[in-house]
Amino acid sequence: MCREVDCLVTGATGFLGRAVTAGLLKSGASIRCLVRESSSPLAFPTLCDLSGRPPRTQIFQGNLLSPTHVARAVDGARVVYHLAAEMRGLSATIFSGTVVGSRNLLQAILRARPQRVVLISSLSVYGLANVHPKNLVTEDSALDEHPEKRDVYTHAKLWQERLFQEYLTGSGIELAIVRPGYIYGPANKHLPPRLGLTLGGILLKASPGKYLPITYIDNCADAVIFCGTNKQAAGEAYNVVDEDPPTGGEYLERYRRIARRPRAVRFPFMVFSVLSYLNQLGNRLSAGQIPVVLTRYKAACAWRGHQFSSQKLKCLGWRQPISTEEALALTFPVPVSPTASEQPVSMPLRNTA
Amino acid sequence: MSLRISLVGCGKAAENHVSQIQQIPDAELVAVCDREPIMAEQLAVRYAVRKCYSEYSEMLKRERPDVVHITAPPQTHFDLASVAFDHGCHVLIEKPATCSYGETERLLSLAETSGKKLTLAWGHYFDPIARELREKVKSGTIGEIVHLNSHFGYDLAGPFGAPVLADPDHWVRGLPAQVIYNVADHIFNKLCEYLPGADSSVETVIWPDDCGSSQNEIASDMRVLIRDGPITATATFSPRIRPVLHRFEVFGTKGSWALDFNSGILTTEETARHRGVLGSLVNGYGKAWRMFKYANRNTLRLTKGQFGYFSGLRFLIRSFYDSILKDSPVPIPYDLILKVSRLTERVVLHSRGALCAEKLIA
Repeated sequence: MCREVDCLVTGATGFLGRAVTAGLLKSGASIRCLVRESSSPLAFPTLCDLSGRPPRTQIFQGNLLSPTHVARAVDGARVVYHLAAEMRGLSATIFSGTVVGSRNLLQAILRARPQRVVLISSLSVYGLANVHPKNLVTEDSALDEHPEKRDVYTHAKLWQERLFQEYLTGSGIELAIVRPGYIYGPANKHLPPRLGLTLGGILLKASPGKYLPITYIDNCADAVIFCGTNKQAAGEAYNVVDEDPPTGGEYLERYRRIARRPRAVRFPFMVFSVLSYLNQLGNRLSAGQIPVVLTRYKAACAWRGHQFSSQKLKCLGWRQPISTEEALALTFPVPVSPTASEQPVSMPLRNTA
Repeated sequence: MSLRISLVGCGKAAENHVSQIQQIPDAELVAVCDREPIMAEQLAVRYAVRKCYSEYSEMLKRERPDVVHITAPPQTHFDLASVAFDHGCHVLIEKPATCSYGETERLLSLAETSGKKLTLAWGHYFDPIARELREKVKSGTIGEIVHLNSHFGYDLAGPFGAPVLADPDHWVRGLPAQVIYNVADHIFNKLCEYLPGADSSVETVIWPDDCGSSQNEIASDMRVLIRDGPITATATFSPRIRPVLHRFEVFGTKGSWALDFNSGILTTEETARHRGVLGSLVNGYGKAWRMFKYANRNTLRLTKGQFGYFSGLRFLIRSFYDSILKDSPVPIPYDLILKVSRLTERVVLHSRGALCAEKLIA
């Protein structure tokens, strides 16, 4: 039997994983990280820098696809934070890494019986194709019934959520599901997918005037840890989006501080419908040789400017530690120049509360 | 008559097969199978396949398919194909056929004794440019072949390479010479088609790409020189060359042709009609014009569903199904499969345990 630890973190070397482990260590918790065997210690510098590793950090090198590795990792952990997921690669890689890996973890969890499990899911699990953009999306909104019409990542994340509910409901093990918006920060300055579709280096902006469901990395990590430690958080799912978010256009303007590309063109949603139709027509004409990357269903879910609420988490007492203005400034700093230092650029953000 | 098709092994290669099978009118994909139920189910859900199984023999008993596509790791091919033959099925196997020449030989004789057909998923071998080259060689446009060159690039950080690098237990690492063996058919089937194979000598150098840690060390660079009667051939595999290329060149006494599998363009070199700088310019424009025309042809082919990354695979699958329905010869002759397997073994298997810059003489 392994030495007991407060928390097990899977996916500890990822963008969110590094922030969550750093936050847990800061809070004084002892943690165990399950990392791939191919990961080098350089991939998780926060663990080494903050704690000097032993005695509060254990690093288990292993694979979620190996039930033996997973069983060893879960053994003796009081809270399991499951952050690991395959986000890129072929469909089979995404499914095996995300869903099969989760199933292995759940089987180990039922044997080891930790007190609580926190699953990191995604806002993409909601079924928004037939939801009017004026309707606020809350945790009570329906989940997508046809994720296969969207993309493999969404499909795998929904499957993963379903597995966690199936395995842990009635097991006596607490489950909290966190559904973050797009996570950004200095180490991830990409454009949120809900901003639009990038084709051949050109961003086709969708609903640029709508607020983006995004969350700053440190805010998201704080919410994840809150869901692992707050007594009332068990048994529910929570959206995590920051307050006072920028609109798509405002985010893009900030982004322009660090990158010129891609060029952006604004299109009404109707254009996405036409592009979807053309893509599907091309797929039929070429007998499947042109892949379907865009469907009307997918476009309706992603680019109609739906707004998400994280009120439920706030009702439990959680507050985002870093304001959106500060987070954006940290992510997209104003370029240093003589004129800029004298006249700092400020971008007022509307309050959505 | 419509063929009942099933597939076993719902990993990375399976999706390519499923998407192409569903484009063939005389075939119905009735079931998929994987020992991991989640993998079988996800494929069935995404491609609207009626049934999915985690027990192979149960699928064969219940569904009674005419053809089984085997897209599981090569270590399992022989056993899975044997069981399929026992159930009266024809078999299409993802490359490589097996893990050794001996096993491939036994598999083919098993197919013959059971009276069932077998073929390998050599998709690129049936790409439009490869078929066109075949016609040119047959018609004598190229003359006598003097030299062949086959180059296959690989991205170890790509969707196929990255999972191999990330997982020390990945099945590709269990193959002799790992990724090289896994793609060897793509490199050698083009050569073997045109090499007489009577009296060949093979010189090989294979060495690993050490990505900074010993656990990532996998055999990743290969150079091969073959002399076979009057023809010589070279083969290159490298994950370091950028861009990642997939090319084949045939040098003949009457003409030389180059196949670029990435762009799907077949080009020929023509002797300059004019000398000097003007000749060079005209020759360059002539080559550009021929490529432009070929790319236009490909656009037209695309609208007819005859051009695309998997168009060769679909042609192969359809030809295989036709060979079953019409009881005609299989699209890939068994002696060619054996020739490729034998060459692969000579090149790759003998290098096991001696990966560092060791010269091999067959």
